[in-house]
Amino acid sequence: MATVTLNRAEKTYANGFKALHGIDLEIGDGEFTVLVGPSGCGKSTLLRMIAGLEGISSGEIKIDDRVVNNVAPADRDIAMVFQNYALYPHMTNYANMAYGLKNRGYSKVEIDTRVRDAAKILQLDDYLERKPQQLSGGQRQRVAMGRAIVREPKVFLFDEPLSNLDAKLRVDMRLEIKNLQQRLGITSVYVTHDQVEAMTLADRLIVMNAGIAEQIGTPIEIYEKPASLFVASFIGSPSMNFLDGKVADDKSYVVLGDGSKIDLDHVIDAGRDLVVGVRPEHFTLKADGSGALKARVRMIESLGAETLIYLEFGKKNENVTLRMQGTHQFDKGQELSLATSANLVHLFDKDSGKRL
Amino acid sequence: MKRVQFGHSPVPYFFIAPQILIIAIFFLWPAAQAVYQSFLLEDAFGLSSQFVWFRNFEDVLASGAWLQSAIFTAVFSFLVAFISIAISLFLAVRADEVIRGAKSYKTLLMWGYAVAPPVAGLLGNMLFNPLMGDLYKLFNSFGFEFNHIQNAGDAAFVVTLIAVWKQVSVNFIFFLSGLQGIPKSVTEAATLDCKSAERRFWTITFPLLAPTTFFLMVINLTYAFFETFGIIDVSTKGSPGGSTATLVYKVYVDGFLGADMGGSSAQSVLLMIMVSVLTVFQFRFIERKVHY
Amino acid sequence: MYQSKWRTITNHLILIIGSLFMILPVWIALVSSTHTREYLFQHGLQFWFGGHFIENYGAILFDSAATKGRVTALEMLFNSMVLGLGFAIGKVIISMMAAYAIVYFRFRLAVPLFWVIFATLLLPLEVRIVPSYEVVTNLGLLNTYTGLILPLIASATGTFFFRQFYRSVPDELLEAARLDGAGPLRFFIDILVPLSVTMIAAIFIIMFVVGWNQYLWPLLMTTDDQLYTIVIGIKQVYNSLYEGGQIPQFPKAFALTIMATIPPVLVVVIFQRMFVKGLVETEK
Repeated sequence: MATVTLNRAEKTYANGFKALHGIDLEIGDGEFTVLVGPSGCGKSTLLRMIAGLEGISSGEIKIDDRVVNNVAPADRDIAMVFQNYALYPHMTNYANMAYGLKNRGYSKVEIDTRVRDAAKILQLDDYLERKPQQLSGGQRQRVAMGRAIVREPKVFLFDEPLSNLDAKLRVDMRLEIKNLQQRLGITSVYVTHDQVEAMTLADRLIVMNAGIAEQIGTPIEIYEKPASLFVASFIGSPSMNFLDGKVADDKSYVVLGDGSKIDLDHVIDAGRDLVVGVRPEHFTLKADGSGALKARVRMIESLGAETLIYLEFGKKNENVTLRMQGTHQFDKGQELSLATSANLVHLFDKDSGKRL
Repeated sequence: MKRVQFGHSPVPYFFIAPQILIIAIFFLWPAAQAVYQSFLLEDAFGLSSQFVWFRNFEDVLASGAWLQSAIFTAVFSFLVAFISIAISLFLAVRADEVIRGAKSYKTLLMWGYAVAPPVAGLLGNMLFNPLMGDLYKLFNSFGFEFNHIQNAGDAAFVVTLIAVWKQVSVNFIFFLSGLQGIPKSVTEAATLDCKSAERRFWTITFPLLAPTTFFLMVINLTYAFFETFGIIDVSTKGSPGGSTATLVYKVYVDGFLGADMGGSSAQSVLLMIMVSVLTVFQFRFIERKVHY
Repeated sequence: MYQSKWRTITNHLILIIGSLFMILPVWIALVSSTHTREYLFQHGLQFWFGGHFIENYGAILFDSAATKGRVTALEMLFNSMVLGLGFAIGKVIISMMAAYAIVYFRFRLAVPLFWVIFATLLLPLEVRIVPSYEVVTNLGLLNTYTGLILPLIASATGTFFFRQFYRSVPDELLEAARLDGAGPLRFFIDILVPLSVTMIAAIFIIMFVVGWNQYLWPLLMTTDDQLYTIVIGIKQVYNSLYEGGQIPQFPKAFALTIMATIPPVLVVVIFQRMFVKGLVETEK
């Protein structure tokens, strides 16, 4: 049983910078929660506060109903995997994994069992007697995970563990981490700036921006119903298309920059300025020209399984991206006719960015 | 060496000439002289000299005074090195941890390097002065019967204390630099793995500082051998009875004040050999161990 | 990062005690130098200022009788300055040039000359003082600034420092310079030297302090009072402290130590960052 709860957690640094503005969070037992957001959004700060490496300015952190605000990191029953592994260079990999247990007074037998079990799971059996410097990046990260696993803690914390690995390794390790967590069932909090990692690993996702949790939900919830402009633009690659628009007087459609009309399926005040969001895969190409939007092709990227078409729209040359399955060819400057349906359209308030 | 170099140019000769010239005149020549004179025996008036092979060396090595000085130098050096390193390491670890006032503490602890050895010697001498020294009074008030003018052990204590005081700054700077070389994430991981700060120090920090520590041991030993001349000359002057004279000080006393050229030259040569060994040791051992 | 309250408190306590350990001796000297010798004789060393600062310092700065010689502290300070600056400047220039020759050129004597320079590390001045004194006397350089400064420059520390720095300068720089038509002199003056400015500053500071604090060598080869550095002046005062059966001149002795200490300490503290950088790089 290990839940993590944050009540109005805030962090202000000595120089006055407020990194976190009142975060409320409930992480259930065994849940894999991912904190995602751009650099400087506060996700690492939040993770380190849970770990106890940063103090909390106000609010509460609870691990399993126990307030841990002033509890030493080593006493919180948590384990952490760092971005640059943070292995002890002067110790063997075995000693690295055993260190935490040794300090807590576990017996030699118990330590040996745990280390070897973890080594087996992580395929490190042959590397135990070597030192970290003799291992590759991926292997070192596994040792770092082994160090966390042997502790059998209440919570696992991951601070961008895959950022220092090359792209292919990242994909492989991502799967390994997911499998591991499901197998061990330990509550995990994972920080990343990579939204693909976030989407694939998370049971629940927290999108952060400038010290605030903009949205909390499952990856699909967040993808399908982003709560704000920021979330909509951050999650999903290529990013969602955003077009300026104004609600028509009869409230049945939105008028875009060049006069095109998008139908509305719920009620909004007439004359209101807003931003219309449509995901690249939610446009359909109308060969007969009957689509609501007309846009000119600027560039095409053929990825094999799909094609990304970058277009310009309207008098202000707003950017529109279209995603189509398979391979397609178009001429530069060619005008395409795009259609979408009201239920796939996202509407955001122009000033606050909040979902309407 | 560099991959890319200039070839066929007179420039390097001109550039290296000044240094070589100075070295030739003021180093090689005197060093050769010292070696040469160590094989000579001058008469009392310095008018004639006799080539006596190794007799000077035999005399020096057989003399109780030299042995006493050698022992004192050895013990003194190790004590100064060890104590000074311990104190500065202790301070450096704490200085690395504090946030508020960190800069001030660092400034307050590192300026000692700029103090001249004779100044340190004088300050120490004053503090232990029988007439008005605070430390003198302090020790005597504890019933120690402290008397560094007559008691060899007390004199050695004073000289050691002064040398340690002066050396703390340099060691502090190096340890601080070494501590800052340890990646922050490693320290944080240790915080998660180990609650006790003491334990963390001995199992993680200290092993990672080993190269710095080795390096400083050699630096400190060299310092104690040579740079303590000023301290001794302005405090105990080797008294009582030559018991606080390091080998370097003895060379000065015998050669300059005592005009025993042969003997002091022989001592110089012996010192040369010792230092060469130390320096070679430093380069070999330290170069190998400096980085993981 | 996390730190228990107790740890923070003990840290500060320890650092304060450490700082006091370093500062107190100098503080006592400073403070005691502002009292009269009678007062010190009666009450021991002081912890707070007396009222005789101007009197005592004025006396030694301007009146040579106070230092039992024919030279005032002001003149001695001047000598120290000449020694410090001369030594630092000489060291920097000569080492830079020698290091440049060693690192950037292939010439026949390069390797043996390098080892000659290296050998100077094996034998510090203290080990060859007597013959050095003879050499200087024979050259007629006794009691001259030249004789004071030159022999001290004959050591390899600065050269190794610059050698290490030059080795870290990317080769591409030289290659680009050559393509631009720069010969060895141009490269040195236009490119290498400007690049080295911070290093030069760092080592200059250290060498200045080392030069200012020289003791053994000036002690031996300046018999003329006019050439005494302030550090030597301290030795003279120390020697004459108990002369004449009067109350010892402690305050003046302290005043001299303070004046000998302030300039190098100021340099080290004001240029702290550069100093530390130079120190850590030199000794490697």
